[in-house]
Amino acid sequence: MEVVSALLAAGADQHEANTFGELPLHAAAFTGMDAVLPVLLNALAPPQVDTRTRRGRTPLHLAGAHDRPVRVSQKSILSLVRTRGHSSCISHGPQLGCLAIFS
Amino acid sequence: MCELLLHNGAEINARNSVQSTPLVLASSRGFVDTVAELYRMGGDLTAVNTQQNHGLQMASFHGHLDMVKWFLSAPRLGTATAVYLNHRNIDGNTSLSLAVRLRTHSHSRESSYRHCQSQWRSAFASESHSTPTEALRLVAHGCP
Repeated sequence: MEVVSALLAAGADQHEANTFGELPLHAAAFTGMDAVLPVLLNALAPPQVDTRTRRGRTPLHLAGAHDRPVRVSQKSILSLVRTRGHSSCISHGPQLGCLAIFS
Repeated sequence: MCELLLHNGAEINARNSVQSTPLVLASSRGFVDTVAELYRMGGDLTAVNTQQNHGLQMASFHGHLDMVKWFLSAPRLGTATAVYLNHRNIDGNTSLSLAVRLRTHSHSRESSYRHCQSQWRSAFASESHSTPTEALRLVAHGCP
């Protein structure tokens, strides 16, 4: 987490998507790096929170995609997204059934 | 140690099989002193391996905070800092996107010591290696 903060403080661009269309936010949601989610989310313009990867996944989809016993990042990213008034979870993503994950 | 090897003919920016220089290897292990010494002796900070990762990307991916801070401390990279910071590897991942994919280590000291022993053996057994250069690579990799 501290490495992420240090890079952001040095001016690392977090709007850079990789060749798979993934923003740093996608990766953080997927790996469950909850501590950096607020930092990454707050620096993004609202529409970017719903940015899709090449395979059509939003960060919220990825937060729910990993098969882990404790889904901390699901909850934290969802509450953050709700706080900011986004509807990432309602958006499509047929393979992952985002709404089902959180219901 | 690096200085000694360099004075004995080691190539500072020699490449291994994946094109990593000693500086890239030491960065990925988080050896700040070694990287600083290599840099002082002329090591190229912008050298990349076959994955197009440079030292800061490797340090970020492996979660070495002090190493990352060393790279970020001005004015080492001068005006190239922004370019260096947002350099993309073969998958388009920058240092930041590698840092959020943090890889944690499970290498035990015992297994890395055994690995080093066999590396040293083959380094000195093989005629095809330039010995000081190979030794520099192992030192950069943290082999005692």
